[in-house]
Amino acid sequence: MSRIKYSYIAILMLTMVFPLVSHFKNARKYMQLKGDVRYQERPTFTIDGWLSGEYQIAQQKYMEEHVGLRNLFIRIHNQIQFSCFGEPSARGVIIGKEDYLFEENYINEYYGINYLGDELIDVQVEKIAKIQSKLAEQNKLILFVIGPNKAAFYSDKIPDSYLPKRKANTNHKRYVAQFEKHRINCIDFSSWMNQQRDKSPYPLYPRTGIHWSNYAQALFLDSLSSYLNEKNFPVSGLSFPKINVSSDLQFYDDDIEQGMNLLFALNKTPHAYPELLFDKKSRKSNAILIGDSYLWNMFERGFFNELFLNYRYFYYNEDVYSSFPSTIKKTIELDMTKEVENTDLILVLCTEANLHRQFFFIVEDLYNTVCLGKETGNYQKRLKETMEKIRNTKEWAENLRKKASAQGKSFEEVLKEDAAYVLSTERRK
Amino acid sequence: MVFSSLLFISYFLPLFLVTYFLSPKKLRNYTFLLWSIGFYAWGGPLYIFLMILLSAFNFLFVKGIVKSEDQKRKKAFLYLSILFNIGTLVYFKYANFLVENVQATQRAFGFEAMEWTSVALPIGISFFAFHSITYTMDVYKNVHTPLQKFSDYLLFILSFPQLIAGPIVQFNIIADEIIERQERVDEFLHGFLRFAIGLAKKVLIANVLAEQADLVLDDHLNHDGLHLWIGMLAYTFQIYFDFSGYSDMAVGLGNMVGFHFPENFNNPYASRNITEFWRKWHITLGQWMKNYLYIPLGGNRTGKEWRNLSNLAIVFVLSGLWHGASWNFVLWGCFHGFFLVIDRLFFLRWMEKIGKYPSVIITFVIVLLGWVLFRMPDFASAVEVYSKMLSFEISSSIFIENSVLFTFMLAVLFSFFVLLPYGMKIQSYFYVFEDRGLKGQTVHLVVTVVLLLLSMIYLAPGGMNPFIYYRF
Repeated sequence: MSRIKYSYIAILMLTMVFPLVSHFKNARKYMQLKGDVRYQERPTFTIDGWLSGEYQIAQQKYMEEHVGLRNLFIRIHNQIQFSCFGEPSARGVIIGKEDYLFEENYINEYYGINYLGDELIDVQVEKIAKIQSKLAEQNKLILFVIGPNKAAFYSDKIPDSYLPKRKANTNHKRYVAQFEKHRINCIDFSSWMNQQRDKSPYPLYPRTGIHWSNYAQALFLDSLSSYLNEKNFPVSGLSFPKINVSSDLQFYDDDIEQGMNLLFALNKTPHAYPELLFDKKSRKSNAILIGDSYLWNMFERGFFNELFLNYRYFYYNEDVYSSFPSTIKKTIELDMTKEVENTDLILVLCTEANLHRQFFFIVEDLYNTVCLGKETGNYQKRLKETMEKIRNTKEWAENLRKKASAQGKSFEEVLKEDAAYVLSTERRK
Repeated sequence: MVFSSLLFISYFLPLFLVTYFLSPKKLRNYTFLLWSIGFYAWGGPLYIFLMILLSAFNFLFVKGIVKSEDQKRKKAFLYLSILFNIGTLVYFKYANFLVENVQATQRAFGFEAMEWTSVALPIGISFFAFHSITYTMDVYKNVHTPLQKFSDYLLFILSFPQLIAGPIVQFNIIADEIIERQERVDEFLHGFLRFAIGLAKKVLIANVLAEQADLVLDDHLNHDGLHLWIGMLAYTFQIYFDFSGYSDMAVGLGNMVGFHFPENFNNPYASRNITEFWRKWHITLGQWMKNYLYIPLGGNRTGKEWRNLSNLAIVFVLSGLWHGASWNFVLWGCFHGFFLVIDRLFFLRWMEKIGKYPSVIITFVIVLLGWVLFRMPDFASAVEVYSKMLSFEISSSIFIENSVLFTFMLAVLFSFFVLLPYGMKIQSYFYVFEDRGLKGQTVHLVVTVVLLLLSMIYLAPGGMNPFIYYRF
């Protein structure tokens, strides 16, 4: 009898420690979590950190993230929340009818929740018109693309409990109307996709992803290529002679579902995966591309290398990715005058859901450069000046010294981070 | 460090149990003490030295009581010890509050406010002070002989199961177990079950309802009366399952190593009146107040009704203040004191007449309304909440997530199920330690493992609620 009881104790002890045992070193890789998951780095022990309690907080987080079965536990938790309560465990995700997955900002845009207002949009479009005109004088093209909105595309799948009334105006409606009025170069891919929903042979939006499907993306690239070539900005031609169809979703077609980190996959419908063929004979244009994750997908798959001669891609007008060797990583470091000089076309792609971000302030950056002739650049010099200013501000420097000590970093490191932050916030004022 | 964390469950507790049981019996107290010091030092690295130093002083004062031959000297050491402990509590917990009030008064009369550097609050100081006082009083009154070793005394004060959030353990209750105790397999298993139940209460119910409560109450100006009722209902259950869950974990941890800490909760929301509520809510605080404050004041045997009632009121005002340094806590104590007084006068009889279930509901609503003072940061916001709640204003439709609704149902069920037939029997099956045979222990084991795993599953995300993408 007592042997059985001791075995019960062993079971209980094992239950507590078993999650530690397996995959301790590779904890993060086992059933790896998707989405914007941030992990705590192993903290460095310092006396100051210990006494302030910061070390313990970081160490606890680090240890708990390395519990071997943590990823499995999280997936079980998320599956319970989804299957039993119909709730997602990823921020901003809305579960629609028939498990169509949305992101909240898409629905908000569809209902006009984030409407910027007539005045703000009108003023911005007037600036765009001036930029377009100035660039045209230099034989350069600026093109705006409005990416699709899943909430508009699948509006019948939005859950009934979610804000039933649609407001009168949306950013999409106002921007499109103003673009038409001022004859701004624009591809309203959102409206086009909505019209194609029932006509397209393959899904244009996956049920479990937030981005357009690979098929829709291919159609967009084809439209873009045709448009630019017609406008005498030669880029590669495009065709897709072969289309693979599969229920095994690829690339970003199930990105929301992946980000929900469930235990069991949701049912999938077949999707089309065109094999793109680029005809690079006519590829002669340099481009600056500004956009959100819809552009990112195409960048990551190397499509811009095929389409353009050279390009810079400004991810959300913050991070810089170049097709040629470059040390520049942030748009704040750029000399915009030179960038505009060296390019043939500027493409701004913003999905409907992000329209409230006013095209990521690229309009203001270009207006300052192209229309007002303001200088940018000299980032390193400005950074050094800001660092000196902080260094000479007693209280600020003292706080940074404490911060550096608590985080186990050098004062110079923390000083540079703070100075970079100051410059980035000043830029948007 | 908190019990409801993977750090405690997967790292601290297993290591503690293994080293404790591998230690020779005569060294187990030291092992327990070292882990307790480590536990406290993790959360309060600066204060552990302070706590040890304060404990040393009190230990010496009590030694002075014991060694003194004449009553006058004994009393002197008694007062010294009590003043020392109350003084410590007042300084660390109430000095800032007192000074803020002095400063406000000075400004009101047009004077310059005095300068003051805020004093930081050591974790567990309230429990520390109360435990120390029970030691002093129990030795002085010869209820129990003092501990011979300072390390044993430190263990009584600092033992990690009850240091941070109780229960308040009177010295005489566990004195013998500090010196000599028996760790039994059956009790170990039962302690584990108790720990798992407490953990589940905290993680699966309290934490979920806390989010709902905070959503509404931290933004009370933007919510209507109906939402505030829901928020306060969430808070009412949150505080019960949080506190009673923690007490269950403490009792369970104690059982694992041979201690029998007293019960702290006994289905308080199933009470028929406020008097009964206070016999079932934070029982150890009530008993401490009764034994060390109410009775010394004369209790209800002063011979004068007004004095009996004022003793009661004093105890409750101080109980309120013990919970926190703010006028809201004092008012909360007064709120309950008021109902206890009117219970004595007429309310008890009236509640008896209206029947069991109506009286339970009325008592529950009174307690819920009292929690407004407890939860809101200041009197002004409490008044705002009360006025909206009592106007029953509804300005928008309610949306409560399914998981929260389900948790509300669980909270209601586990708060009131003892009122149902067999409710008490079911509760006793899990809470009361008895020889239930192998079948019973197997059932307990299964329940323990399920609750432990579920709690760990719900602890794993640790607030992780990522965006799909960093920027959308």
